[in-house]
Amino acid sequence: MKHIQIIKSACLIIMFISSSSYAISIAEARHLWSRTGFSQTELLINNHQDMSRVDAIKSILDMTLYTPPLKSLPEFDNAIYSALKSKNISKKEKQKIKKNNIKKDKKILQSWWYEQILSTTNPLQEKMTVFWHNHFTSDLQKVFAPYMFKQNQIFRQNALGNFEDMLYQFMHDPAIHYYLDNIKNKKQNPNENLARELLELFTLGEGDHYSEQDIKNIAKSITGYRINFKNQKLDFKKRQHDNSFVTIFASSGSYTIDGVLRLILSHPKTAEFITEKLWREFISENPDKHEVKRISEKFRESGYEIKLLISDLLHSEHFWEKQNYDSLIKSPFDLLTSTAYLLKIDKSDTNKLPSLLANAGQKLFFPPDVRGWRGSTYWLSTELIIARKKMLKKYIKKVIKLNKKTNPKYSSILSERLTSKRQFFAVGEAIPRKITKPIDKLIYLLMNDKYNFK
Amino acid sequence: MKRRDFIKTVAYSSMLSPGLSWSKQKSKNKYLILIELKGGNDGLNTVVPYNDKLYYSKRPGINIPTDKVIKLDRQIGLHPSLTSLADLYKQGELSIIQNVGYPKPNKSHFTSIDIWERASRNKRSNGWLYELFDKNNTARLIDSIVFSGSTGLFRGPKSNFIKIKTISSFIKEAKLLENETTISNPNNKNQQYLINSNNLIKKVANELLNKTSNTKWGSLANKTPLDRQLSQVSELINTNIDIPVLKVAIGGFDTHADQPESHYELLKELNNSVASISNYLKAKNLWNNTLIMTYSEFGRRISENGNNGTDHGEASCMFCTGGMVNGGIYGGKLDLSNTHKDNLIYKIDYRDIYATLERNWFNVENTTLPNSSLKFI
Repeated sequence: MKHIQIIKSACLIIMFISSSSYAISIAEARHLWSRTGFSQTELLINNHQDMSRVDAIKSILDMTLYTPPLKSLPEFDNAIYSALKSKNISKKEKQKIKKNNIKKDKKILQSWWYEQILSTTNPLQEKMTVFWHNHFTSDLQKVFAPYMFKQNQIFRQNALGNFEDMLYQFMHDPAIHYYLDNIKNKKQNPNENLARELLELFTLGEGDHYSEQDIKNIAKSITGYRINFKNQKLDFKKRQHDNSFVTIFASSGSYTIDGVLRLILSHPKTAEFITEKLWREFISENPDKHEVKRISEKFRESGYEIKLLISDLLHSEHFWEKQNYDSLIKSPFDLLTSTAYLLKIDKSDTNKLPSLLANAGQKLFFPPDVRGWRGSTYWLSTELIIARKKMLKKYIKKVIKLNKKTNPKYSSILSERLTSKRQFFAVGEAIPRKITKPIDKLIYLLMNDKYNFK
Repeated sequence: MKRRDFIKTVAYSSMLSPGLSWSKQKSKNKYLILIELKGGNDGLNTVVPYNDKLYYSKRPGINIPTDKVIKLDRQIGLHPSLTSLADLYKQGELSIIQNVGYPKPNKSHFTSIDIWERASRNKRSNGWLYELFDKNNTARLIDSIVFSGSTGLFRGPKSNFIKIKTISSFIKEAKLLENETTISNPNNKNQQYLINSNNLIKKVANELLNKTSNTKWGSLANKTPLDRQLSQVSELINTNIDIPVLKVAIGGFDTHADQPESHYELLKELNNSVASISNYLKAKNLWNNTLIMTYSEFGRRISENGNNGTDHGEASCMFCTGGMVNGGIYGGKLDLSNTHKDNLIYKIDYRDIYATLERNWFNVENTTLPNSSLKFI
């Protein structure tokens, strides 16, 4: 018996070593490419035969710690926003500001992000920025543009960094306190909105591992935070803070935000919840409980290093199982970014992108509710299946028209670009020979039902 | 026996008698219109216990003043914006079910609406209506059209509903799917989902095109999002298409702050849209074939929260209206003194309402729930 066990585990070790040190196939390269936000495309297309799994994953994760935005940052007139919140402003003036500035700023902010997404040299970082935006939701409908922008920068700076840092920064940033009514949470009149979502959606995930009493006590502990609309920071008003002695997850004390976050971060469920959510993003819709637990423990022990967590997920045997290829549904964001790569656009009309994505169900900065976009088959509802095809059609028409104006040779550039390898990366097959015109080739790829998967 | 009851009995018996094949051919289909009030509607400011001092002492800032309440009896009355619902009540066509909830209430929007839609706490069970139609083998192309809001009621392994914005745009856009669906891995459930959805869309678009070729869209009120959804619904009912459930939604009921203004607008939107669709259906002689029901994931806390709003609560009220409704107030009295952590304690399990719908509205043989004594229809 023992011998067999030893031989078995030896075989497993050998198999593991062999599969991870051998060169990856083009199918494996495509799988890794499509799951990591279309990062390092050229490298994977051209050099996969020289790369092992470890090399390939390293090539994607080994980018600089943080890639600052390429596009110059959007500028907002902050005085207007503090005026809007001051007491000595007339209703008429308020209406005027709302009409002239607020709408415009919302558009500026959205366009800025789309330009950033389409021009970034670090697509995985942008993909993760969208991921965190969908995890720690806030809505531009309710929260002013400059505040949403600041929050967005927190997600970008920590996208592949440290979860603990991100959580602290996020909870000390005004946007979420405005979005979930915590600026109205007072000692005399607690408001539980942020306390509840902090546990249910942002850290522990819903379940029996916390109680209604925990929520009430956290709500008490995070009273007294107010937005200073002049410097756009979060102030702590000691007088409005409830410093009474409370019990949270069986620990007793008098807490503020930092104390609450410490308790949350020392709860093992937090790492598990985040690991499972990222498993669904990168591997499959069927997380393996034991593997999630193992990886989440490493994540927690590392002090919540996100890049390490993603690296562990990509190295997991589950990631490379053939049945997981093309098993996840691309979000509209995924569709758009993979298409932008195929088109290799120089010019793009980003003004139209928000409405295109909105029709396909994912208008960035405007999540459907505090839980964010649900993903998976929600993207393929009868309503959205059609809308995403429409989005792609409109988008390529616009891009082609725009680029033809400035570059008459754009058609032939496009044609050269659609090499057989790129066709394979797009849909896992070649375009039939009878299709010859570049635009038709492109439409064949993008309207192909296989293009919906990653 | 009241005249209305007599008519109802006759209507029921003709529906239940088997041998009348002529009536089957000519019969008009029945429709359940569901209006989801997203965010957790504040039941206590919708149906107001205006005679209860506790109501006013616990809600000093957001209460509905006694003189503004549209009084229905000596205890309760409607929010002042619900004038048309009050008219329907007077005509015996509105039932108000109070104190609706379920044991061990969950206060998460998502979990609670999930519990409502599955008729169960088990996260693996199918949607309530999916299960009902599946058990009764109705063999329709689809059982429902969802115009807005969540689709959990119809969740199950096979697609039996579509979610769309408008009928005409759906028919037009379905043409984008003309080619055969090609996929790489038929064993994958997401890829399978796409194939099924594509096939379904093509078939349903065809059926809708045939049925609505003479429909003139946009003849109804068209001011609000709910108006726009319900005008689609009413035109569809007018075609007598065999799709028994039509679902719409209106969002914004999560009134944690500054509730009075926003709640007034929301209820006004609801009131006006229901008025407009009921007038239309009455004029077309279709009111007896239609049942409109509102629901929401939970009610709100009894005491206001100090931001002129209310936090997530427990039991709440529901409206049911239509030609076949036994108008009245169900579910017992509102009790603000005997409460659960400042919440109304439920007296009516929401599944009792489902049970009544299964037997008295859908008239199905295989029900999914135990019998209920709640005879609001």
